[in-house]
Amino acid sequence: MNIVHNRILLQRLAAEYGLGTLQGAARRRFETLARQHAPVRRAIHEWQERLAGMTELQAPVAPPPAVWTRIEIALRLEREASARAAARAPAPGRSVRTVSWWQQALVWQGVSVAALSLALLGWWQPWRPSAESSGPTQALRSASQEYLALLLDADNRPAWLASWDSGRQKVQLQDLLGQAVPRDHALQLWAVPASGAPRSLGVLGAGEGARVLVAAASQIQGASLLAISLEVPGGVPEAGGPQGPILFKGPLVRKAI
Amino acid sequence: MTTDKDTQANLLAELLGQVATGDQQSLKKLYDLTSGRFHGLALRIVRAPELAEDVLQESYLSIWRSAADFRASLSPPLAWMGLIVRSRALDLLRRRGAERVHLSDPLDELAEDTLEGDSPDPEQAADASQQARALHQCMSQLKGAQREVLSLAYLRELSHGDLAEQLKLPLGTVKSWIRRGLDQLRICMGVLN
Repeated sequence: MNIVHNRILLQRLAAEYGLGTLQGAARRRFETLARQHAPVRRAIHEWQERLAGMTELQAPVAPPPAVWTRIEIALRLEREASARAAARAPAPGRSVRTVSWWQQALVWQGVSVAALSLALLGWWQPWRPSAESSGPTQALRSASQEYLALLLDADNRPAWLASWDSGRQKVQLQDLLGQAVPRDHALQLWAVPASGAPRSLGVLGAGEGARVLVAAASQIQGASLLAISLEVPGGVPEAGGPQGPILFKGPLVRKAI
Repeated sequence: MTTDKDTQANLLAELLGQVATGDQQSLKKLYDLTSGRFHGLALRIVRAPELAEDVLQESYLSIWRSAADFRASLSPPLAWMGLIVRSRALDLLRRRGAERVHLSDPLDELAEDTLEGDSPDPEQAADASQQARALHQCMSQLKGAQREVLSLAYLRELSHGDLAEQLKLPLGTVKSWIRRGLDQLRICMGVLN
């Protein structure tokens, strides 16, 4: 049956599409038709406009004043965080949206930006030569290894600075945005290899500015990304991977200077 | 000829334009003008006061961040904002895995809710876009339970199967109510060509 030229059928399908009850394979087929035929696109658009009125028909209920107060506070925190981030590094332009975030190429486009931000942050510790070494090439062969990661939020703002060194076998995290963790949740840190499952490095503790987690070399070396997800209090088992949304992520780079 | 309704829509569109430039005062004005209605919408979808407040907060923050995307020529301001509120409400329900929790009420009770919920007071009706008023008029001609099924399908993005399961109705009934309901809306809203 030719849907495009059967007006009633087209209206019915477009209506169910706009309502949301046309799902799965049927929905995808209809979308393919829409891409190919303008009348289908028009019908969909009209029904979406028509049904959008459903969101306007609710009886009003005055919200408590606290809601606006919380919005104001959130806006102020955003302003302050932007000002701090702008003072340290140029803000990257595009936001990165990913689905299987540790597998997509888009993540790697962020690498050079994050590396630039790291450099301009001027956070480097000066290189301390070990007793046996001399000269820069020795640094690469020395036993001590240091890794750094700048974790960005969904708007590409630097949110956490993480460092790990093989001497102390600990990840140290610095909170750059000062965001409160939502109540009844915990922040869990993950080390993600280029292929393979994420390793859990534990749940961040409370404390001003800096947090410390134990992490063995085997968990850090070979990881390409660090990420922080929002989980239930106490975190989730490593085997299942992150269950909650990934709030912050950034590439892990081995420091060689 | 500009009516009061157009004036309201123009005001909201203008405020959204100001919000896009980072004007927080305009966001507050927008909030004062629209938060009552969107709080009602959030309550309708998530059905719990504490969740509805979270949805409202996240919605206005979304509006703050995406105001630059609003195009007055493409969509009435209330419809644009309403869809944001609906999205934030569905996001929250998904995060909490709470989609099934509040649909255990029998359909008759839900239909009663719908009846009251869909009777906006005169002041609110004045603000609603022309589309919304037409929709409201046409929806009120449907049977209460049929109207509720359509509302739930849209507000909560439920499939025929979901609706049948959660409302304890036969799948065939749900499908035919929706099909006939949409047909009636189509005719009532004057769409035949």
